[in-house]
Amino acid sequence: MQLNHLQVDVPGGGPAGPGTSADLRTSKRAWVQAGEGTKGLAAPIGSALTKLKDGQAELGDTAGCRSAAAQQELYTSWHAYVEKVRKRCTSLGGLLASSGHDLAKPDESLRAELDALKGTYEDTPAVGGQSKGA
Amino acid sequence: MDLATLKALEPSEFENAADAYRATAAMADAAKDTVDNQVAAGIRNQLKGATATAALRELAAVSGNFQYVQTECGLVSTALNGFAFDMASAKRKLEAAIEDARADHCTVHADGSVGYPAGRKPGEEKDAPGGTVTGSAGGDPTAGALERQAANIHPNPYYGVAIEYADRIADALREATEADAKWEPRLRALRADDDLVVSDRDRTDVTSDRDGVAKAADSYLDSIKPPPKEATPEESAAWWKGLTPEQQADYLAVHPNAIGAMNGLPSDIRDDANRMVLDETRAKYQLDLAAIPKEPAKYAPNTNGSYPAAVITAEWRQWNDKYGAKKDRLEGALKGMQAIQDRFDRTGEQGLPEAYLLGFDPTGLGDGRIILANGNPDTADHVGVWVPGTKASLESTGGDLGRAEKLWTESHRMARGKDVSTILWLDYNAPDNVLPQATRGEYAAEGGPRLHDFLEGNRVAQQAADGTRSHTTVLGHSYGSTVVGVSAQSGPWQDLKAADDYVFAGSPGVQADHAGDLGVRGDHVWAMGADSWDDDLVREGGRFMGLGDNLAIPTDKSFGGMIMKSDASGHTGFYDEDSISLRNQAAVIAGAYGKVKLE
Repeated sequence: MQLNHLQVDVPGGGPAGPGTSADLRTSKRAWVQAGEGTKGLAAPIGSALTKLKDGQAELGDTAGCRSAAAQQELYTSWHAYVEKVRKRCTSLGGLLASSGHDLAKPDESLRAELDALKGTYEDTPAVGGQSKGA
Repeated sequence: MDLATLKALEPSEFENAADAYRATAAMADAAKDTVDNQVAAGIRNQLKGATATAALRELAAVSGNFQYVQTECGLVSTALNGFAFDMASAKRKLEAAIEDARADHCTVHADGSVGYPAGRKPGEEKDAPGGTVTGSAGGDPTAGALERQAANIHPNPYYGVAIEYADRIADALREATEADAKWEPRLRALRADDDLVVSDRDRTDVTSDRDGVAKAADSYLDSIKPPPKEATPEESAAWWKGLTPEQQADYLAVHPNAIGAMNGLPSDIRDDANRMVLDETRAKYQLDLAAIPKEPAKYAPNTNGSYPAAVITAEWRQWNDKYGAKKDRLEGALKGMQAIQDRFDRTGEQGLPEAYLLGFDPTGLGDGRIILANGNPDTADHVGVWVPGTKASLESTGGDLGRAEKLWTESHRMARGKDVSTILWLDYNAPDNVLPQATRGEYAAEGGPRLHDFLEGNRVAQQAADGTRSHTTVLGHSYGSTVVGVSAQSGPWQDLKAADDYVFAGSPGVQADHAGDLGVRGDHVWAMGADSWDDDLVREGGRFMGLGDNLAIPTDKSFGGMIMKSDASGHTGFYDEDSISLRNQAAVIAGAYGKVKLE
């Protein structure tokens, strides 16, 4: 496994003009790599979502079969969950990458944005709660 | 379930849906690896500070989402396959009954009743009229006898067979209805969480989901060939290879404990399985710990006596009797599990490779069981398996993991571009003290064969991965070296090929009086001691208690091994950074024998 196997184009000349320290360039490149790596997950997640959808294609009428109806609910919930994870990867990855691309943006503002993300996701009682599986 | 529904139901459609969930679980597995071993590792490798920490926190949460998707979608796949299996069985019975009824000139109606034509029995002059019968499911012997009697009396010869088909149809419909009722709540229970925070409660829900699916899918799972009992690693590997990808995924989804512990299976599969077990165990222990009432004040001022003193309160005593030991046990195990998590979170720091959890059990053999590799041992060129000594336990895992990492860093440096994997192997009940427990050989007698089996499994997995086996060194510290010695002498004499080199540090004896007894040449058996009172105590203590053979220990000239230089200041100093003793061990792991400094 190569830890740095993600090859990402980082703005070379442009904004990284004289006065930009090597350290800053290194850290900006690292943020871009992390961001692109995270955003890049959207593609495999997307093809999994397509497969999930295709997997349902033949399953039509559920009348008379309780499990088939339950299966449909199951699908709806997983499609939504995986979709949410995709959005999460895209937004987190976008944040990291843009911070890497923007040489003027200080680390502190990225940190504030990351901390703001923390509040976006809240836990709710497990689906079905006590009755789950009962 | 009625006849039309069962007739129309296509089990293969549910199997296709199951395949899609399996693909989703595989995607999540790969995505989790990317997040952990590339993205987060890259940040750790290159960035520091509060912003990096904040980013790692968010990435850890995303990784948790993928782990949740991997485990639960794996279970959904198993559940849908199990449902399809049950339905296919019922449907086959229904179709066979309908087919047979037709062949016997009967007509099956939409409500499951069976019509029979007019007919006469031999000797009768005219046809008895046809009719329709309704079957009943689950006929008992009495009902069966009554039906036969009725059929005998009945003038129409088709009446009897029509009853038989109607009963078979009713049986098939009942089977389908029962399976449908069984699976409905199971499937509903597998619905995804509605938020992205994977809580301890969500993780323990996964465990109960797994139990539910395992029970409900028993017929389907029974159709998968079970692993051979008391199998050699070769047999286990052959069993695994013989399963279809669906069967592998479904078996893993419901039996992660068994798969995680199975020697001979690929390391990445064992790692997947053990991480599921670790995550869920940690969640359960955390919830159990949180459920323990708060510890009351232990001391109260002495109000009775004439002297000022504090006494232990009755409340505390009661609390302690009930919860004290449990709390200690949970906290100790959680500390060890946190140490494993911390190791996962160090991947990328100073180039540390990804971790493979090859064995995990919080209570196994009393001390807990942990086998953790730094780097993939299946594909590595050099593998070092390190066995810790006395007092090793889940709770003390942090320090032992650190030693295996130091061995990795040092041997990686010496391996000149070759891949190295170092493994902490703690799967024996390590003695809790040096005297008197560690002076008895029974801990090693019990652990040695298990280590042998692990090493054999490692060899099998290496050969399966790339057709070659790695250069493998087995290292033992203190009493761990006794376990290694027993392991080397376990198993059939012919197949002592699982290890190429042995390294003993502070060894109290290896149940052998000569290096050659370990199955490799003497110049591949390495030993070192520390010039200190505590190391002398362990080594000489072991010698006189008979942990060697004929009072011999590996650091004796007469033992016939290679005595290495050591600058360890004491019995626990063999793994200090930048020490000769650490470098010497690393040189053997890397096969850089020329770099070993000898006494």
